[in-house]
Parts: sequence; C-alpha cells; structure tokens
Amino acid sequence: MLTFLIVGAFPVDYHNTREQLLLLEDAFWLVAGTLLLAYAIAMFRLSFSKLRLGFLLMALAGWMIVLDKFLSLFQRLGLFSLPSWQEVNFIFEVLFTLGLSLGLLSLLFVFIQLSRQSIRRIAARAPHPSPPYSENYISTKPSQAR
Amino acid sequence: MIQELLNILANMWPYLAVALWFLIAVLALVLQRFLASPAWTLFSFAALLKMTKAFLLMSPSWEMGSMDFLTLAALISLVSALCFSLALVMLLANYAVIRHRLINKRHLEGF
Repeated sequence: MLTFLIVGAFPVDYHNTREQLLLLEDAFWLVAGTLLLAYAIAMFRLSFSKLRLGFLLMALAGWMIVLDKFLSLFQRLGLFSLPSWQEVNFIFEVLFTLGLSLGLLSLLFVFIQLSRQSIRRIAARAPHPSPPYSENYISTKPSQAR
Repeated sequence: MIQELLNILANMWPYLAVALWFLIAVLALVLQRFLASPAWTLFSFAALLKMTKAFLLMSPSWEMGSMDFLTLAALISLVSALCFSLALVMLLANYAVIRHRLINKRHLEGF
C-alpha cells in the first residue's frame, strides 16, 4: 500500500523502466532459486531418510525456478527466442509453486511426527507418580465423616 | 488430454497461485516453531509478497497515475526475491553451523 502511494505520487514514466524492472526481477529470482537449490541439496545430504522427501521437492522447485528465470533472462536480453515461451514459463511456474508447497508440507508432517514421538518417549521415561491413596495410608487428620 | 488438463489448470491458476502462496507463508511460519530460525519468518513474508503479486495479476487491469498494475507486480516480486534470497542466506548459514557441530560431535566420539 505504501509502495503504491509513494510510486503513484511521483509522475515518472514507468512504462520505459518496466522492462528494466522485469529484467532485474528475473535476475534476483535467479539468485534466489540458486540459493534455494543449494540449501535443499545441502540439507538433503545432511538429513535422514524421512526428511529427505521434503528437501528433494524443494530442490526440484529450486531447479524449476532457476531454469525458468535463466530462460526468461535470455529471452528478455534477446539472445534467443522460444516459440512457445508462455506455455513453458507457465509450466515452470506451476512446478515451482507446487514443489515448494509440497516440500514444506512434507517437512512439517515429519516434524509433527517427530515431536509426537519425542513427547511419548519423554512421557514413558518420566517416573510414575505415587497413587494418592493406598491401603497403608494412615491419615493423621480426624475423620470428617462423623 | 494433456492439453485439456493444461487449459483447466491455466483457468484455475490465478486463484490456485494465491492459495498456494498463502499456504507456503503459513507453512513457513509453522516451521519456524520447530526449527527456531528467524529466517523462516522472512521466508513467510516473501511468500506473502508473492501472494500479493498473484492477487494483483488476478484482478482486472488498472492504472494509477503513471504506474500500471504490471509494474507494481514486478516491483513487489523484486522485493519478494530479495527477501527470499536473504532468508535462504540465513538458512545456509544455519546449515553451516549445524554441519560444523555434527562434525565436532563425530570427532569427539571418535567416529
């Protein structure tokens, strides 16, 4: 909203700068995608089998966005042109979003499972509390029944 | 068959994209409770920005002053990419710390 107000207040011809902005956006998403790919691969190698599916999906999402933005950047710079670029771009975007959401969902599912297991383990290890009443219990207080 | 599926997906995609980015933002926030890293909050913020972009692209075209919705969407996406990159750099730094601790632990235990 603030961006909207600030940018709307200044009469600058944004139509000329839009292409530059889109180029910059592609470049930054390329960096973000590469970082996502690096993080997912690193965590995939470090983690155990249950967590690996989530990181694998995240790595696939990272790979999709890297490919998408790489092609988009080259397309904008005019280095080459694909005939069905819109369709390719759309498929990459869908795969990126789906991969990232499913990867995070898988990670969350495993973490919830792990936390439940650890709660059960802690509960099993804890000493059992003594029963509040036993046959050997002798009250020192006078009985209230009378 | 595949073409039909793609057409259905293309028609649904503007709404699905908003829903999926919202889901990613919520998931990142919940993951922050388990992984205890502020990077996930930033990740969630970036996802919310992407959701805003998807929402802007869903609405009919408009123009305010000298700025149209496509330029604003590109600007929001740019900020989102910056936040994403920063969050991932923080996560990678966290990974390096975890790896270092694991190597130290293995070294102390004599493998």
